[in-house]
Amino acid sequence: MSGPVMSAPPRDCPPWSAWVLERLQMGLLVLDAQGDVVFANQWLLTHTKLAADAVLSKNLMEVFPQLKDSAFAHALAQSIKSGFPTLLSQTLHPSPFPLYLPSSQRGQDKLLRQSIRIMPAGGLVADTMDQRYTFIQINDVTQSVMRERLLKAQAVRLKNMAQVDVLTGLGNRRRRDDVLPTALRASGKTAQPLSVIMFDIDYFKQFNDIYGHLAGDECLRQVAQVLRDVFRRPQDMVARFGGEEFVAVLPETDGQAAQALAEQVLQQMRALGIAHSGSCTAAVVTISAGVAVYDPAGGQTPDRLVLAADQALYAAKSAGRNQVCGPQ
Amino acid sequence: MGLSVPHVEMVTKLGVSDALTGQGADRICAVRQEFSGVLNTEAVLMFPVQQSLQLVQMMVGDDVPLEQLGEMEQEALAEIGNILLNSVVSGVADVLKLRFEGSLPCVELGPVQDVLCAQGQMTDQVLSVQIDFAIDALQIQGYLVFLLDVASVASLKATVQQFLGTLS
Repeated sequence: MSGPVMSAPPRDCPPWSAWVLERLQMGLLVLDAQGDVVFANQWLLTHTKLAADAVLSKNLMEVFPQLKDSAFAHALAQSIKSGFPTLLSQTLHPSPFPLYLPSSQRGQDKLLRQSIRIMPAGGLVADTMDQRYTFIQINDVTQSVMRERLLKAQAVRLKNMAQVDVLTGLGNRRRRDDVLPTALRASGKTAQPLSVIMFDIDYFKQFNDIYGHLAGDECLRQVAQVLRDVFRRPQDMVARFGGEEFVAVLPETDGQAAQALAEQVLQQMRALGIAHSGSCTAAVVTISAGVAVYDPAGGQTPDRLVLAADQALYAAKSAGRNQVCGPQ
Repeated sequence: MGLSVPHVEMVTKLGVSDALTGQGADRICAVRQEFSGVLNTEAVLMFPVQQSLQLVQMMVGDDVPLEQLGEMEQEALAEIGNILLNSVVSGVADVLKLRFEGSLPCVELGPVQDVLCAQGQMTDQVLSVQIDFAIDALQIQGYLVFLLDVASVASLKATVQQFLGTLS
């Protein structure tokens, strides 16, 4: 089943076996029953930058002192005791052996990422040998690690791009759908309140009709800038929700604080003084806002929370716009 | 890490498959290893895919949620499964005074039936060991199944009887 490499006694070795072992493009080490190195192939010597006599007939822990008390040493001891092969993954133990690219200056370059297999001669195979040998196979998986890292980074970048509103640079609806459930779970865990504010530009349709869509786009960008200025904590998330609707998700913020922040947004919008002759509320562009608060103990769904903010926004509109309405 | 074994029984593969699908795990992640000696068995450690993702994420300490297991994550699972399978089998081997030879682990992902039924029939009997892990806040329920051929079932029974004989 396992360990066929050591199963044949030396006299049966075909003439090419030593040559093949030497030239295998992975590290091979064979230990005797005392843990002394009886074989190390060329790949291993080249990548550790060690000479054969610095390795052979020496105890493995003496050759590689960094292995002492490591997870590798523990796995090796277990493997020899049980007689079962053991795998050490790169993910959990990136680089147990001091292996470098042959071209690198030792110590200057990063260690190679290693996937390690420990094969003790257990069971019936051990009976064919003069003592219980163990062989260690080391594969360089640096390239695979780099490739996976690159792919992951790319996936994260694409995901972020897919969640940006191109016009304003804020998040889009997808970002909100992604962030809100996580933020609610965090709020539930930490028992901290969380607020959601919905914003809507007053008489925006009329603004577009009077000043044109380019001016409308510019107005949306200015609103986005005001929102960015007011909600500047890293944990705050602002997204453009629909045409002229925006949403802010504010962790660790109670209703009172959220209402004050919403007022600040409204005030800054008025201060911008973007002329709006079609507004029945003011001579400049104004905004309405609705606030909803998540009760960590209550466990509302993200949809219900957004609906509550929407209802508060509707109340602000009904009461004459250019104002903030709190939880209903 | 806490580990408990609430159930050990002989059941059919179908029984194991039903138990796993009952947990809502249509797709599972399995770590397989062969052991040979007086009896030959293939040990298959199975988790629902979702739980295997959480397990690896926790071991790796990655905060990016995984949607699937990449090559490196699969290798990490193989390592965890290897530790578990080796310790269970060497424990059994010590108690029953048996010698086994083991293989390296391999990871397989797929529907329960495909993983369990690479060979044989769904009506084949297997030795099923339910294991519950609790690591930090994570509760993971896995199934460890020993696939045994007819000769190995007989040999297991004989060995267990012999062992029970030494107790009385």
